[in-house]
Amino acid sequence: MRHSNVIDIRGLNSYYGNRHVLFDIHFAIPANRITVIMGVSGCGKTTLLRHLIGLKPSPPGRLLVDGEDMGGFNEARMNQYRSRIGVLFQSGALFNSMSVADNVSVPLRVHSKLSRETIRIIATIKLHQVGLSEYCDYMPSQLSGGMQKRAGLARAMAMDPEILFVDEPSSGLDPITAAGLDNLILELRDTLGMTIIVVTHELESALHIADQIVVLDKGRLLAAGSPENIQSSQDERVVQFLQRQADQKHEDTEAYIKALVGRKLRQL
Amino acid sequence: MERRGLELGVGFFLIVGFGCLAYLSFNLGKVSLWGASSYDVYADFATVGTLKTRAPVTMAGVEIGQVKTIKLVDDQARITLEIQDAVQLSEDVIASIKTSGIIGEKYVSISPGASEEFIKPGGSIRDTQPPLDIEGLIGQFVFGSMDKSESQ
Amino acid sequence: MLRFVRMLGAAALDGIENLGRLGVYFWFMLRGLIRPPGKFWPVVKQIEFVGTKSFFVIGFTAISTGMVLGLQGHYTLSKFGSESVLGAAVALSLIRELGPVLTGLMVTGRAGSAMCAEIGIMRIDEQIDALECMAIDPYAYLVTPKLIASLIAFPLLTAYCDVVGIFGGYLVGVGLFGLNPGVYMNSVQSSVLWEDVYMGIVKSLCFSVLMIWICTYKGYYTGLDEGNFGPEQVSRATTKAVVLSSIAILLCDYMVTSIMT
Repeated sequence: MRHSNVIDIRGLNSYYGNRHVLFDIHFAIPANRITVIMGVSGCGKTTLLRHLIGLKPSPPGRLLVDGEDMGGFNEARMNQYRSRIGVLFQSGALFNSMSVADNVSVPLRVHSKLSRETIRIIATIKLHQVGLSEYCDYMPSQLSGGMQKRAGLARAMAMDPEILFVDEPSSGLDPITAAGLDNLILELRDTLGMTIIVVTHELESALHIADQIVVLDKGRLLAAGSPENIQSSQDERVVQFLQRQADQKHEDTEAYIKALVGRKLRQL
Repeated sequence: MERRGLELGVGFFLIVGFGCLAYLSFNLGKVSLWGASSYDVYADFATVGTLKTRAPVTMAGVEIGQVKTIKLVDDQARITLEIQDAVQLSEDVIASIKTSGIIGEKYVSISPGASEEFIKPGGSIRDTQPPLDIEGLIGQFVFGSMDKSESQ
Repeated sequence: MLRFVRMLGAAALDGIENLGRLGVYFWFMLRGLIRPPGKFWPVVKQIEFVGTKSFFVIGFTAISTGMVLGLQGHYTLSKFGSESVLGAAVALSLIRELGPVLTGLMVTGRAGSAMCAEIGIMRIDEQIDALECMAIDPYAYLVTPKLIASLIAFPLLTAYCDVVGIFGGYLVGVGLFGLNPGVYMNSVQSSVLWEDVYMGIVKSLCFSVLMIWICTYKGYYTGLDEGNFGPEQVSRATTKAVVLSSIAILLCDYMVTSIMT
């Protein structure tokens, strides 16, 4: 039986060295829906993503995949999980030594025993889905930023993943290209029924594509719910985020001055 | 295609590289892949002086093999000579240990014999001459007269 | 005072941690040998990169070194009236010492730096993360083919360097000083033993492992210490990689020589 929640996050804390970056995160990612993780830069959303795709080890019992503890995954189990997911990185992360089609073929070549020709055909199909079928033999450096991202998306989909992670799909793109990428993500959900997790700070695109929005602030979960819920939220920080107000600078003047001159004071 | 250039380049590199390596090993390093191209002959000496293993074995000044091992058997030094297959030693050859130059390295010189019988692999050379004991000679030369005067 | 002790302790702990990571990295690199993906074509590509493309630079280094050895050797030997062993002097210095070391240093400068930069760029561009997310072992995919290729290419390049160098000495000895060609070649042949050639091969194998180990390690951990992934980190990692592996090669050269003689 399928779990209705693909991933359950139960009180996740995360550290970089001594720095505490995620505080007690709680939410669930439903299957066949688009979940958008939002927040300002440096709020920990990329860290959360790295936990979800297993690049940063999770403490036991905090991250459940289909009800199974990801903290307890050994390497083989982790690889099995990773064969079910696709990840589109912020920069596209295409291998710049090989052509676009070869890039899309990499996971197929390593993980399947298909013939060269078959792999080539599959790669072309995937590139066609993202509208790049004419650019098969281009090198990544010959493509524009938006095209690189779409090619990265084609590679993420090469193994027909059940779960797709997308990191900042619209960063560095013009609004029209970004909107095109958003529509592509919506299409993937509707036609293939993928579970999609998008990390972004673009409010409009989030409201457009999300089935569920999760807002992070300074490593803490601020709100989670449908776009409508989030929009009608009364929380001060959420409202601030939605209305794109700049942070109230230096709320604590004394602390600010201390931060500026603290070192000198100690020396004096 | 692109792959053809790659194959060509790598093939070229491998050929030249292995060619050089083979030249160094076989021609300069004198490695023989076919180990059975030599046979062993033993010779017992009263003393071998400062002879070392791997010293050359020569006949008429031509190198025909090398010293493989040196060990003590029945209070005598037994050396094993590795002789090239192409060379056959008569039964009555004489093996002597000589020095190249006055203070040079020791080597084994084999003077040819006349017998029709040849030494079989694993056989031994009967006639041997120990090295000239240069230190002893010098000693005799210096102190020899004293010995004489004492005896008189 | 207490602060100094603490700094010393921190530095020591850091050093130990780095050494441990270096060891674990080596283990992962070896483990890559028995892991997918297939390595035939990647290895061929790397042999082309390390071997074929170093042909010119190694040949040039070798011939000039051989000629210099010929000149200097002749100058020294003629003082003792023993020009006839010029071949031995050139061949032994090349085969035992200069061939492996020069090849190691030149290939480090040419290929090692490029490998470090390549892997470093893949690190800062999240390509290594992408590999992991595709359930591909980045060590087996990126590092191990380079190791295999270098293990093949280094001894061959060294042999090539030796032969070209001996030829360079021949040019000077025979061409410039009018030495008898037979005397030169005979001196080469009679002086070189298999042990000398063997030592050169052992050295070149050690150097290849050192170069790959250090250069790819530095690339793999680009920016991880600073927690900052930028182009500047790649350039810094590349510089460090070349300097470190050159030093390691020279140290290792001394150790191998002292063990094997």
